Formats: sequence, C-alpha cells, structure tokens
Amino acid sequence: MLILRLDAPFGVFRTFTAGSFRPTASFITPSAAYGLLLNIAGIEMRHDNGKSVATLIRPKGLPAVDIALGARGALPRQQSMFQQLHNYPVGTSGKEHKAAAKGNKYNITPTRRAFLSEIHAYIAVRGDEGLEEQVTKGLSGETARTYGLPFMGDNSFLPDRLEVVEQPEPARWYEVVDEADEDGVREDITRLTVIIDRIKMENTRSALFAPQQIPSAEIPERAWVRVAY
Amino acid sequence: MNLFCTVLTYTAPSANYRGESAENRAVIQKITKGRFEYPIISPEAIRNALRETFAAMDLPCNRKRLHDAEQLAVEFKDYPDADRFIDDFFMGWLVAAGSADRKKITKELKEKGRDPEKFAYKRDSILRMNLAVALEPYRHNSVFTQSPQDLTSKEVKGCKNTENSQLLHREVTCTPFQYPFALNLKECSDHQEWTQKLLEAVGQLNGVAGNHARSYFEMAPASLIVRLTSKLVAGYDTYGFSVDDQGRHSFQEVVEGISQGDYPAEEFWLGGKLVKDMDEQTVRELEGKGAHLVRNSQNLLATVADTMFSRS
Repeated sequence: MLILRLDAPFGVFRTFTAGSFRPTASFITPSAAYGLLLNIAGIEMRHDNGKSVATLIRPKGLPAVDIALGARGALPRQQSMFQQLHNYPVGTSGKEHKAAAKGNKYNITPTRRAFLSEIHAYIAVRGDEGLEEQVTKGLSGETARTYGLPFMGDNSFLPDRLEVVEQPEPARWYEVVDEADEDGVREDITRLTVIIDRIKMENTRSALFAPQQIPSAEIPERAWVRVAY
Repeated sequence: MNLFCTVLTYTAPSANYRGESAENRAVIQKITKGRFEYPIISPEAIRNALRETFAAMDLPCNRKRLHDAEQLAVEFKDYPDADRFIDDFFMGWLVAAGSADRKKITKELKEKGRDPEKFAYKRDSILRMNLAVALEPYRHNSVFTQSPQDLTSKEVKGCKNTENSQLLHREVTCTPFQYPFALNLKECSDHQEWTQKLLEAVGQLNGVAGNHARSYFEMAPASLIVRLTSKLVAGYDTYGFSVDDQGRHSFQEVVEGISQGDYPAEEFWLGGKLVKDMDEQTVRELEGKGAHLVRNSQNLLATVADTMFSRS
C-alpha cells in the first residue's frame, strides 16, 4: 500500500457537463486520483483512435488498483468564476468565426465555472506494487516521462505538495454509502466517479461516498474502491 | 528538470477583471478564503496577455483576438503548429475532429505542404499557470461615476450606445496579486530560445484582463521566487508571499526552510523587492547556503533563462 499526501490550492473534477454552468465534484474523485497516480508514474492512459472527438482511455494494459481517499482537516471549499469560454457550440452560434478558427473552438460564450480550493487530501492505493514503485520514483524525478506536470483536473491547477507518507495523520476517509448503511443518514454525501468512459456513458461508474464524521488514522475497508479499466 | 515560479506584483488599484454585472455595478471576481473574499484573475486572462506580449515581441503567434467583431472572437493563421508558432508550442490546443473532419483537415494539410502524420489534434499546454489571487481581501470599495448623455445630432451619427447618461458603480481593490506558473523543461527543450523569451515576457507582463484605459495594472513581477528541481511539484505553498504593514515582501516558508535546511538552497532563485526588503544577515545566510539572490526581477528571470537548460 502507498499513501500520498496531497495539498493543492485549487482543483476541479468535472462531472459530465454541457451548458453555461460547469460544476465540480466536491472532492477529488477516485477516477481523477487514478489519473493523477498514472501521471506521476509516467503511464500514458490517454488514447486517440483517430476517429473520436473525445479523449479515450487506453483500452488495455492499465493497472487495476484499489483507491481510498481521505480529507485532512476541513473539506475543500466550492468557488466559482465567470468567464468567456471558448467552445464548439450546439447550433449555429459563432458560425461566422468557424473558418477563421482553423479547427479550434470558434464560439465564445459567458460561462460560470465551479472549482475547489484548499484541497488537503490523502490518496491511498493498493493492489499493484509495480505502480507504487513507479509513483515513488516519479515523485523524485527518477522516471522518464512525457506527461507534463501533475495537475488537479485542469492543467492550470497544480498541486503544491505530493509526498509519500508512511503513517497518515487522522483523516476523514470517504466511505462508500449504501442502502444498508447502519450509520443512518450521513452528512456531506457526494457522488464521485470511479471509472469514466467519455464515449459510452453507460460504462462510466460512480458511487455515493461520505467522509467519516470522526477522523481516523486507519483506512476503513469501506473506503476502498476498485478502479480497473 | 522542472521550473516552478511564483510571481508577486506591485500594489496598485485595479478593477480590471470583471464578472457578472449586478445592474449598473461592475463586479470584481473573488474567491473566499477564511472569512474574507479575495479578488482573482484567471490564468486564461494571463495566458491571453502572454500571447499578446509574444506578438509585441515580434514572435510568431497563431492566435490573435479580433477586437472589432460583433462578439468576442479570435482567429488563427493556420492549423496548430508547435514548431512554427510560439503560442501553440506553450499553450497547446484542441481540434475536436471526428472521422469526416479529419479527412478534410488531412487534405488541407497536404495541400499546404505539411505532413499530416506529424499533425496532432490535441496537445497539452506546456505552460502551467494558476489563478492570480489578491493578497488583500476585497474591502467593499467602489467608485461611482457617470457617463455623459450623447447629444450628437442624428445627422452626424444615427447609432448611439445609449440615449441617456448612465450612473456606474465600479468595484475597485488596491492590492498586489500573486500567481504561480510551472514548466517541464524537458518538454521545452526543442525550443529553448522560445522558453527564454517566455520568461522575458513574464518579466514585462501587462495588459492582463482589460479595462486598462481606466484601471492600468501591471502584472510584471515586483518579487518572485523560482525553484529548479527534478521533483514534480514545487514542494511549498505556491501562494506563500505576504506583504506586511510597511509594504515589505516576504516568503517565509521558503526563506526559513532554506535557512533550516528543509530545502536544497541551490535550487532556489529569489528576486526583486523580496531581496531588497531582506536584512543583510538573511541575505548572507541564504547566499552562504547556496541560494541565488538577485535584486531585480527581470535580471533574475534572465539569469534563470541562461542556466535552466544546463542544469541536470
């Protein structure tokens, strides 16, 4: 098992969205944490099949792991920003600029984008010692990589700290919530994506999570989710 | 090797990054930290200003804004080309094209003598840049102004923006802003001269977020801190600048961290007002540990530009 301490001033973890409001999940998602780990390890998970407009996930060869997420201290804050967003519009808006944009986004429209601030988290991973070793080497710059720098869901948002910790401080681990939950109604329940498929939405998997009310130094078994493509 | 830098601007009044208007009130965009709201400037606004700075430096740019279109608009000289255009190289692109569009683009590229096999439909931004955040919270200051009624005869011009005089509230703030940016220098190695020009552009950045006719605000660094490291993250609070009541700049976490041996001193460059405001003992101590101190921010960026590709 490997545990990373993560500190980031800002981050965004978009749900599948179109329209003038761009929401974010309320915490780093298991799918985003998985992408971050692979970025650190220098493992390319993006795939271009030459046909699709969307970025695909590499169909084979990605590690399958369990991931658990914990919040250190206060949960992140939700913020939002009003911007002129460049986009490909649905309909005919901005069509007079399409030719001049040379394939780039040709329409500009006002949008409100949500994002998180003050993210203090633990990302725990188990189930693939090879990946754990690659992540450790990647963090100290020992891995050859062509993957830019790690980012928090948007390439503008960089983490300040990513460190391997032997023993985490008590944290509020996000547990999977189910109907048979003996704890009753949980606070801060949130839906987080576990794996994503941008082409076939039915393959995207998410679950309801809730952070523990009392911080714990031990990772509860209910916090672990399988991330496998 | 990776470069991490935090820039701190000078303190000045500004009102040049507006969000939604609330009736006749032009609203500055803000985030909440602790109990207060702090003005922000988006990285997209800073990046757009960098593109315009590149153009002003006579560097080859693909994208430019059309300032006289009916709506906000941009135009490109050609399909993205990271070897030909500096803005494509650093900012990346997305050409969302399915099968049919790809055939059309392939044909066009061939007609222009470009190799379609070398064309990528997506490229990440090499330049990573975060929000600029004010050091001072918004104090609910605003100025109240009035635009005059336009009484020009219709025979001279038939079209007027508004018929009547307008009352305008404009939120203003008086604060420096700080923002971090980062580069993976390996990704920059194919265009080292452009990378040096990028740092030069950061050193004279201006025109961010518009409205400069009424609210001139320079984004050039008053102080800055640079770390060159093989690590993937900066390893400190990248919004760590503070300004005290006397206007002195400090970056306590790193300065103390170098003194205490928490950070490898030789990886750090500190410059501008931050250095001018240091006492002599701290300067001697940091330099004795191996940190690089330069009193002028632009000189510091030039020094880093000269050495960043030679470090391993």
